[in-house]
Amino acid sequence: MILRLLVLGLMPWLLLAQIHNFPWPMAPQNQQHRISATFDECREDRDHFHNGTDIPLAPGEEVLAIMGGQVTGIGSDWIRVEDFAYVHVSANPALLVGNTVAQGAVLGWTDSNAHVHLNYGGGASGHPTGNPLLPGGLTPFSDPYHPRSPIIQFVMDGSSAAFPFHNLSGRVDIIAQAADTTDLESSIDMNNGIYTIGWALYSADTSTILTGPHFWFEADELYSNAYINNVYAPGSSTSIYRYIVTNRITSNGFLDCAAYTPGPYVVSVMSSDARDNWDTTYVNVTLSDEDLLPPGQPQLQFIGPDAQGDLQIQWTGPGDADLAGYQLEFSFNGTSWSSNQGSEVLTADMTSYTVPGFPQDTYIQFRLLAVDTAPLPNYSEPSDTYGVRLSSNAERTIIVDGFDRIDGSWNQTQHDFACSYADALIDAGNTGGIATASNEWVVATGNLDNYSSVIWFVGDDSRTAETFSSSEQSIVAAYLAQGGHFFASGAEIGYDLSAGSMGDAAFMNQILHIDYAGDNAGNYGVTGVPPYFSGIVFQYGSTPYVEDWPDYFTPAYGGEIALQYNNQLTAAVTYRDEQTATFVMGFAFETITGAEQRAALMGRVWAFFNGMTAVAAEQQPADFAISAGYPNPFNNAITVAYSIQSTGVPEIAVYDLLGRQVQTYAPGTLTPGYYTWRWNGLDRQGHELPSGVYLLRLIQQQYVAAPIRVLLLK
Amino acid sequence: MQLKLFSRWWLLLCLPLLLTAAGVKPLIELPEAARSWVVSNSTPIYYTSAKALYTIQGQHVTQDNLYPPNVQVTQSPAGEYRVLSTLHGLDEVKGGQRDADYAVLNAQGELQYRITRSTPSDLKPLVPAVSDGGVLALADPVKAYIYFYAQGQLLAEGELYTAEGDQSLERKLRLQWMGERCYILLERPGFNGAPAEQALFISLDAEGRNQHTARLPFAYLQASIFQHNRFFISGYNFNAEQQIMAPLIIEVGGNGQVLWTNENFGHELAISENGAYLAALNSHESIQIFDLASQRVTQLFYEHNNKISLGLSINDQGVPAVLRVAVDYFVKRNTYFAEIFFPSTNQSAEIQLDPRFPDVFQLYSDGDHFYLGTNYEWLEITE
Repeated sequence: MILRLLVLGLMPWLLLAQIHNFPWPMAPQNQQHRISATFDECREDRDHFHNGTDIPLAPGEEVLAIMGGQVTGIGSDWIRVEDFAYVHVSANPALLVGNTVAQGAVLGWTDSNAHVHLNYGGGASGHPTGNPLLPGGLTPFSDPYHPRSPIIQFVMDGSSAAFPFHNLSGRVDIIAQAADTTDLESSIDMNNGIYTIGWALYSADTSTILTGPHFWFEADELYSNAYINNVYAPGSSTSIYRYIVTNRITSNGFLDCAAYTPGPYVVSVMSSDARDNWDTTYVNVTLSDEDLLPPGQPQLQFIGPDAQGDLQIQWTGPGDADLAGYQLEFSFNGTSWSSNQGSEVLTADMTSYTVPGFPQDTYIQFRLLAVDTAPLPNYSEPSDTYGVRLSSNAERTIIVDGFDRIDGSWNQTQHDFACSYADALIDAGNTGGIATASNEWVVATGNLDNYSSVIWFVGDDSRTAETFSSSEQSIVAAYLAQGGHFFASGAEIGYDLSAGSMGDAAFMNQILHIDYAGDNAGNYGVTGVPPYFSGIVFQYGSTPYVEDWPDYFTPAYGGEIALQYNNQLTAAVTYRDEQTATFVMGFAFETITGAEQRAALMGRVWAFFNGMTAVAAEQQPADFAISAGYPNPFNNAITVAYSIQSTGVPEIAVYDLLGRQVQTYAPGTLTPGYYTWRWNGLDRQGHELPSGVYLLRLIQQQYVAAPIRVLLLK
Repeated sequence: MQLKLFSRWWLLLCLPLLLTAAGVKPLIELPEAARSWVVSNSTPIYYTSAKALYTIQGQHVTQDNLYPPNVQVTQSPAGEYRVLSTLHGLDEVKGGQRDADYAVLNAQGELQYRITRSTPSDLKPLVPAVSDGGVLALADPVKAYIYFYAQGQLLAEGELYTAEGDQSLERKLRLQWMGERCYILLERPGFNGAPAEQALFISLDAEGRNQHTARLPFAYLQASIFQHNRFFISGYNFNAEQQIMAPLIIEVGGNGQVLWTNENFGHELAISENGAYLAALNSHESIQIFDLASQRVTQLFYEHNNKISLGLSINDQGVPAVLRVAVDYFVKRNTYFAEIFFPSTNQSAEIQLDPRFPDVFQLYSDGDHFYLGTNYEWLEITE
C-alpha cells in the first residue's frame, strides 16, 4: 500500500484529468476505436521515439477534427488544427491555412498507410495531451488490462554483458521487457502503451524498500531522440520494448551493488499503462562483491591447415581488461564437448594456436571461450562452432561464415551453422579437406585460392549486415576467375544486392548468375529441377530459425534453375562453364528440415560441381540406368544416381568381385524419375566391407541396367 | 523587408455579374478514368488510373506495365530527365523499413538507372528531384538528409543542417534543380513544444558540395516556384499563444537574399509561361497578380458564392484562372460538377471532376490557352 501511494504521487497528469476529453478522429467519434501504436514507443531501428498515437483507419476514410479551431498547417499528407496534427491524411482541398473548422469537420482522408498518426504539437512537455491516451485525452477510452513484464535481465552497466543466475556485482543495469494491451487476445492492436516504468530494491523478505521506487520514464513528454538509448535497450523494436529502467532519460544510471551488504535481495520492476493499470514483477537476486561478470565472447576466425599442413586455429579476443586467456573445446558430434587447452596455454595475448599432431581425415568441431582472472574464473559465452577435417585429398572446401546478424530471425550470439554444411558434405560422401573461416578472415587474408570449393553462407544477413560487401565481392570474383566452385546460401542475397550499387547488381547477375525477383517466396516446400536436381524434395524455414523472407530469383547470365519453391518460383540457380560452377540459394541451407535432406541436396550440388552428367538431361528418364558414383574411389560413403522409366520396385544389388551379393537396396515402389542412393560401404549385416572393387547393379522386374564399378578404399 | 514594394490596385468585383461561358475543347479522350496527370509544358506526357500508368504521345495513349499505378513522376526543369518514384506497399515492410524505387529515365523514356532506398515505415519516403544533367537528388523530409546519385552511383550525402533530434512528420521539404544547382526549401519544426525555427533556403552544386544556406523570414512553407531563374516562395509565421497568422509572399535571389515581400497568403502560386506574371491565391475570394516587369501588383476580389478556389494558373496576358467547387464538394463526394472560373471577367465553364481524386484539380497554361486534365479528357479552355 505504501508503494502504491508513492506511485500515485508520481502522476501529475491526474491533476490535469478531464481537461479536454476530446472524441476520436473518426466516426463514430463517441466510440472507442483500436490503437496500433502509442506515444513514445521505440521505433524499429531505435533512432527515435514515436511522436504520436496511431489509430487504424482504412484508406480513404474520413478523418474528423477532435477539436475545433484554426487550421495551422497543411502538408501533402497531413493537416494540423490548432496543436493537433493528423498525419498520413490527404487534407481536404477545401481547407486553407487560417480557416476555422468545427469539431467533427472532415479534415481529409486516410492514405495508403491506413491509420491516423495523431500527435500533439510535437509532444509538448508536461501537457496532458502530449500522450492523448492519458485521462483528459481521447474519450471514451476503457482499458481494464494491466501491462506485463515477462522478462527481467541484469547486465553490466552500459553494456550487454549479462550476469548469469541473477548473481549481481558492481554496477548493474536492470532491463525489463514490458508491453501493454487493452485486449490480451490481440497483441499489438489496442495497445495503449507503457506510461511509466520503474524499479526498486527490497530486502530479501520484501519488508523494506532499500532504494526506490525510481520512475525515470514517463510517456507524457516527447524526449529528444538523442536519449533513445537511455530508455530502450538493444533488441527493442516496434513490437518488443526493452526498457533500461535504471537509466534516467537524459543520463546513465545503475544499481550499485557495492552499496549493499552481499547477500540475497529482491528487485522489483513496476509498470503502468496510460489508464493507471499496474504490474509489478519481483526477482530474487544475490548481490556480491566478487567479480561475477563473464568476459566478452571471442570470435573464431579460421580453423584449417596452415602452410605445413598442421591444424591452425585463429581468433579475435574480447579485449576485457581482466582476460586470463581462452579455453578451446572440441566435439565429435556438436553436443558433447571436451576441453582441448585452457588459459594456461591459450593466454590472453594469443590470437592463434597450432594443434600439433592433429589426425588426418577426422572431422572435429571446435569452439572457444574466454576466461577471466577472477578467483573463481568466469567463462564467456562460447564462440561460433567451426568444423575442420585435414586431408591429403586434393579436394579442399572452405566454409565461410558470413552470418553476422543477431537481430533478425536468429538472435543468439553464437551458432553452429557452419557445421550444417560440413555435416552435409560428409554425409554426402565428400572425403576432402574441410576448413571454416569467418568472412572477416577472408577479407583480411583476401585469398581463397587454396580451396577447390567455397561454401559461403550469410543466413538472414540483409542490407544492414551486408550479405556480400564490395570487398567480399571482389574476392569471390577473383576466386572464380581462376576457376573454382562457389556455393552461396542466404535468404536476403538478392534483396540486399538488388538495392545496392551498380557493382552489387553486376556481382549478383554476372558472378552469382541470379537476378532478384522478389523478397518473399511465400512457400516452404522445395522441389529439385531436372536435369541435376530431380528427386530432391524437402521442407525448410522452421528450424533452427524461422525463415520469414525467402528470396526468389530469375536466372541471369547463363544461370539455370536448380530448385523451385512449390509455387514454381525459383529457389536456387546453378551455373557452370569450363572453369567455374556456382549454386546460389534464396533461403538458408541450414534451415532445411532433416540431415538426410541436407545431405541429399549437398550431394547433388557436389555432383554438379564436379561435372556429373549421368543424371539425364530430360524430365522423363531416357534410360533405365545407374550412374557412376560419387566420389569414386570412396572411403566412407558413395552416392549413386539412378533412373527408372516405369513405376515399379527397383533394387540396387552390390556384388563383390567373387560375385557374392553383399548388399541390397530396395527403396520400395517408385514412379519414373531420377533418384539417388548413398551407400556407406557396409554389408547387409552392417559390417564394414574390405577395400576392393564392387559392382552395383540396378534391377527392376525383367530390366537389368549395365552395372557400374566402384572402388572402396579403407 | 516588411514593406510592400508594389503599389496596389484594388479591384473589387462586387457587382452581381452575369456569368458567361468559356470555351472547352477536348483534345484527348481516355479509355479509363485518370487519377492524376503528368504535364510538361502544358502537354500531358503521362496519366495514371486505378490500374496502370499510361504514356501519352500526341493522341496516342500506351499502357506502361513497367511501373505501378501509384508511381509519382518528377521532371527535370527542361524535361531532359524524369524520375519515376514508387513507394512499395505496406505488405512489403521488412525490419521496419519500407522500400521506394527511383527510376531515372531520359526524355525518350529510356531507363538510365534505378535506385532503391528504404526509410523507416512509420516515416516518409525520400523526396526526389532530377537535374537536366541526370543527377538525382533524394532528400529525407524527416531527417533533413540529402543524397546525390549519378548513373546509379552515390556521389555525396550529407545533413542539410545540424538538427538536434527534431524529426517531424510535419516537416515540409521541397527541392528542385535549376541548372547545375539543387535548391531546397526546408522547414525546421520546433521540438518538444518549442516554436518552429525559420525555414531554410539551401542550394548545393551537382556534386553535393558548395552548400549555401539562407534563412527565410517565416517558419512555415506553403508554395514555391523556381522558374525563369527566379525564386518565389509563400509561407507564414504563426504565434500559437496569440493565435496570430502572419503570411508572406517573397521573392529571393539565388543566394537566398529577400528581394521583396508581400503580406498575403500564397496558398497556391502560379507563373505565366513567359515569366511576366506571378499569381497568388490569397483566399477563396482573392487572387493577387504580380506584374514582374513593371513591379506592380493587382488584387482581384470576387464573390466566393460558397465555392472554394484551387488549381490556380495564369496566362501570358496576366489573366488568372482557377477551378471552383462547392464548399462541401470534397466531403459529399456525390457530385462531379466543378467550374473553370476566370476571376477577372467572371466567366466560367462547367466541367465534371471526380472529387475522390484531388490530384486532377490543376489548371495549366501554355501562355495563350488554359488546359485541364479531367478524369476522362484533356481539355483546352479558352476564355
